Amino acid sequence: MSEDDDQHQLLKVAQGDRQAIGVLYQRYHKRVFHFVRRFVSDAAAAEDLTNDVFIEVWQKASSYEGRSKVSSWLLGIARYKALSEVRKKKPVHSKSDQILETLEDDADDPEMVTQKRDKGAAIKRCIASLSRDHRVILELIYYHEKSIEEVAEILDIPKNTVKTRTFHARKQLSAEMTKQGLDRGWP
Amino acid sequence: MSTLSETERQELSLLLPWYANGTLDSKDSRKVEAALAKDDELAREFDLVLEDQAAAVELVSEEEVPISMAERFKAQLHAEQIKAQEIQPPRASQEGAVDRLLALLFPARPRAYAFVAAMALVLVPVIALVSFNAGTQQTTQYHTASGPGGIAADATRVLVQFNSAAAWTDIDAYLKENSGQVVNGPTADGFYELKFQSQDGLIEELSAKRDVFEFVLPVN
Repeated sequence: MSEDDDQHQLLKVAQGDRQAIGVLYQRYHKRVFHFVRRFVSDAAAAEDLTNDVFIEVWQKASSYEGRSKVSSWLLGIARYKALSEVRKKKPVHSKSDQILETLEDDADDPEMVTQKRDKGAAIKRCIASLSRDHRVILELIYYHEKSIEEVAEILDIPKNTVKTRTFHARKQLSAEMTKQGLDRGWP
Repeated sequence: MSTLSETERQELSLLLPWYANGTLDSKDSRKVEAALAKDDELAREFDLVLEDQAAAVELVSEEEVPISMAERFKAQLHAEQIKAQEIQPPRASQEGAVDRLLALLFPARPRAYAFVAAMALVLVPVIALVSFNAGTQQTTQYHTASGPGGIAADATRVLVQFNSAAAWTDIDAYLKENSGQVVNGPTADGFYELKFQSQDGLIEELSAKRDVFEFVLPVN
């Protein structure tokens, strides 16, 4: 999928083309869902928020000014909606409890013992235990493949804050690894 | 052996995640690439970034997206379209003519009033004519997306689940063709309430349309 085509589809959405919103939905609904999932505590709420994002796109596609990638614009809308939802509902979950549950530490389970030895699984457990801000920024970079400028725009923070927050997130991740007995030798 | 100063290494360290995801500009990218080739410490740090990247992607990908989500979106979108059509002025073409006349009679530019005054004798019969035409069009009814016939009072309501493979356009076309409307839904179980004009064999007809409906149940 190219950025040009995303913008072309969005233009068609602004003209009321229902297939075009279908195309964008197909391309991005999973990414939007994964993004808003960090802000709300259950999958059903994330599902509602994701669909609300695309309904808003359907209604307000003409307000897209082309200053950012369509995918970044979508995530910006998603963040705004997710934060509004979080403010309404409270309390904010700073830890991804549900995901931690799925990766729970169970020393009596031989399968889990094997998994614990697996470095990738350990890193995943540690990422899941990060604060929301740290996890969101790492996922925007690694999973959503966003540039410094795009992350700054989506999170509405300065570029230097993006760099330092990311650095702190990486440091925190290594600290979590050390807590699990996996010293990475950095920082 | 590295030639990087501690400050240089720290600056480049900040950029490593974006070097990994390939979004650095070419200038910074070249700087990081050159530094990685000569600085073992930075190269070790970059290995950790790559490990983190792989784990983050895997972790997110493991999260399942609810299968009902796309279906619910289709229904929401359909409802939005109907809502948008319902709030449109019912006699738009007639109001457009009135608007055009009002714009002509009360123009924004004061100098144009002179023109309006001069044309008044001509416009009065035109206004009368347009008003007459408007009056004759009063019987024109606004039609929803469900079709020209609208929904009769003796409507049949059904509870359905759409076939997950059905395209939006197919669902939309079917509803239009058969004067159907989504009136509610989706429920938590993914059901939608539809309204059709009552007709014999409607439930059987819907049930037979397997490419559009997976499940059909009458509710009245």
